[in-house]
Amino acid sequence: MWRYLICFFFFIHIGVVFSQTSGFVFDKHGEPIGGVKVYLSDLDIITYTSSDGRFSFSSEVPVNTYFEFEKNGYSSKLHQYLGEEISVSLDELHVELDEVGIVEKSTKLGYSKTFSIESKSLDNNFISSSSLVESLHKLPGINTIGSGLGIQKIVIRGLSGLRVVSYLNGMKVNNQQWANDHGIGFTDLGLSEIELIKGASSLMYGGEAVGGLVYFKDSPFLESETPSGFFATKFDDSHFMFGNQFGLRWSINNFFINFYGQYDIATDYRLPDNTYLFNSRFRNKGLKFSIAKRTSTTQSIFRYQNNVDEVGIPAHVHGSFSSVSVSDLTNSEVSFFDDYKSTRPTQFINNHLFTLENVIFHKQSKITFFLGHFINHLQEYEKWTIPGFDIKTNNSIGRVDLKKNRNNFTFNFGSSFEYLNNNNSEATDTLTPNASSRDIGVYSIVDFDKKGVGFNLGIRFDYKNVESQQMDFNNSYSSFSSSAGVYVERNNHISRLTYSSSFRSPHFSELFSNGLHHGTMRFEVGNIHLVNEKSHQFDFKHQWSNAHVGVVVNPFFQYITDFISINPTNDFYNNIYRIYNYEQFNDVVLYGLEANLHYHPHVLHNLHFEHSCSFLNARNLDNNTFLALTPANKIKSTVNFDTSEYNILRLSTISLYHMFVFSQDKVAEYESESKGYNLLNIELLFKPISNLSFVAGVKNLLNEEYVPHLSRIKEVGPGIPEAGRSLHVSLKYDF
Amino acid sequence: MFNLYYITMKNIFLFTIMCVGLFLVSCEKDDDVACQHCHIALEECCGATEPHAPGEHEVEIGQFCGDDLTDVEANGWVATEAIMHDGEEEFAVGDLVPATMIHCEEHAGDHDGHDHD
Repeated sequence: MWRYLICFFFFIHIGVVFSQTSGFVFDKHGEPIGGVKVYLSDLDIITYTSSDGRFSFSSEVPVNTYFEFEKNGYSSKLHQYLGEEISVSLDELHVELDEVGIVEKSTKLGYSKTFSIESKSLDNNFISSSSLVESLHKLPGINTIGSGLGIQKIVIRGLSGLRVVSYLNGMKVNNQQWANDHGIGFTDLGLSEIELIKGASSLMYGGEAVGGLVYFKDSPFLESETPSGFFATKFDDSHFMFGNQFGLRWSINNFFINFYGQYDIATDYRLPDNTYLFNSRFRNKGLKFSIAKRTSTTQSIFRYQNNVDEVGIPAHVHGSFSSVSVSDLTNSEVSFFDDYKSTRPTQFINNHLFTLENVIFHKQSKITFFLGHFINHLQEYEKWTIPGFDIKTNNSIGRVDLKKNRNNFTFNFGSSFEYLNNNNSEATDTLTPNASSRDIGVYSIVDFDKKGVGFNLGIRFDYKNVESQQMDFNNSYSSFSSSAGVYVERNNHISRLTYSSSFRSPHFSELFSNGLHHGTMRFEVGNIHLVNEKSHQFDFKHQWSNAHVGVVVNPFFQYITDFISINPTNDFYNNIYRIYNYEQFNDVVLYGLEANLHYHPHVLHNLHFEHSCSFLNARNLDNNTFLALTPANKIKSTVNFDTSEYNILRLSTISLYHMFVFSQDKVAEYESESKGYNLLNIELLFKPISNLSFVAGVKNLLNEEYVPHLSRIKEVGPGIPEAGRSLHVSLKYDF
Repeated sequence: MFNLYYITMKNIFLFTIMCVGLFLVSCEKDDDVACQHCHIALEECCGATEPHAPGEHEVEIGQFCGDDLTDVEANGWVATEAIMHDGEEEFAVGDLVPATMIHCEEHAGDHDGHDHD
């Protein structure tokens, strides 16, 4: 049986046609535009236009493939290929709303006009940002839970953990996200873009993402027989972090390869008072490669990624959290000889990801077969020689999707199967027992788009079985998820209204936990009587833009029933660790507003101002209280000044970033309030020679001492501040 | 400009193998567990009614290396001296201090004697 399956997945190519698909890109005056990114979203292949505006692909591109044209300073354009010579005109644009607005763009998660999908480019993220999550944090409605750069998790509109599901190239990443001390599980290595759904999930990728879904996409394959790649290095003095990355992309005769590697090492981070938070150090190693082979009607992609993390768990105390002071947990200096080495307590994480995707194009249809396997091995050591717990989680996914275009309609039908297995090895504690789950889902989605009007309708059914022989437990959970959206585009106005519903079945940790979790320093007790958590969300977005001003307004309302929550009790384990129970709230509502303003003065086209704000309320209607860990309201502002035309010291861009965070006094029982703060960052980008980028910047320029409301070490002592003023420099050479 | 046009498939393959090899070598766990100073954390056993700052009720029991470290973390420590706590003898000579009370991890200030003003 396996032999036939392997043959099916590897040898489904049915023909090779060596003719070319080519085209021409020009502006409104008919002048050619060079350097335009031409991306085949269905094939994940990219090329660039030459200086005469022309591009070509070495073999015939399947009919109905979407071409995406992008260049900074121009509006992006999506073009459906119907077998003709392609000629595309791009409009000059001074105001870009690509990250937050409703844009014409192909996405993995669905049709971005009728569905609430945002995307953020990660090109050059390694040199312009200290971490992957830090980059996402700049989007409205996105926050992080963490401590320093070592442990960071994504929070979407106040929801996090198991409610925010991460996909990496189509594979679900299970990095033990049930706890706040477990980070995202990979870095920005080889990634080109993030797609994001705020609120209930994409139907193609399952129902579990009540809070949101984040889809990380690898850099596309490059259509070029000249290998290209990069070397990049960076230093961030808040952690004394050194990071290095390299990448290589190459193709020949429709065979494509991408290959990347990374190594980061960091010691304890420096607080504004120039002390160092002990054991906030971390180390990361990453390696990934992707290979693809395509013909005129098929494509196969195999990807492998390995990510190894050693992450210190700072602010470790034996006694009461509240009685310690910050000075008990910090050192006045770091030793470069000792303090890059791991100490205790530390997490050791080893993740392996394998995916195989086969695509068949036939007339108006595209069929995708996907197999993925993710292995997460997490060891948490408090002692040196025996792990506190040692969990290996295997996650396998199989998915089939049929996409069919007919007139102005696009139909998607599909099915997925997921198997998750949790297995413990010898350790001093076992927090969650050996358990497994099986999930089968079927879905159907229809999109319509014609002359500025479109709609989306979709439904999904999931059946999930959870079993643990160790706990003598076997239970099934099933539910429907759905989505509906409509958009209207008139002149410079675009409006979209979407409704989505989803559910989340209880996780092993919520059902079975019974033990001390050293990472969060609490004793957690599960509840086998938990039922499905169900969510309904309405999201309205309106945008208006002209040549100089763009505005986006995005109110939303989410209603969640049977909300699973971990709540503190008055009991203690060993008189030290507070005992937390998993419970369900009947009714929870989250509502708020996100807005953006992008402006640039007519007299200075290379100066851009961007402002965004996010306001959120989260209430538990059972007892009319606030939900814990609700992020504080924020206003973020960016000023970008493109100085390349002035030729001053090869300075290309000056960026100023300011974030004002309001105080948060809407807190749950046992949760402390947090103060407001200001953060100011500055960054300079130089282009000293062709293909070389040099970035220098200062973060927290005002050396503000602040404790984010979502910091996982906010409740330790008076609250442990984030890093103080820090310098970062980075260098990237593209070839 | 650095042109790699003439790099062959073989060279790319060798480069890939070299990078993977380097990566695998660097994947070895850099985890220096040879010798560690250990202490008894008395507050964990004694139901202290008042909260204590870390270290306030720690009793140093010396440095342990290799198999001795594994043994003390797994099985506990047989007291070689009387362990006093709040003026009372908590463990007499020869008593077994359970492994749950033995802590060998480092705390802030342990390794360099930093002062904290």
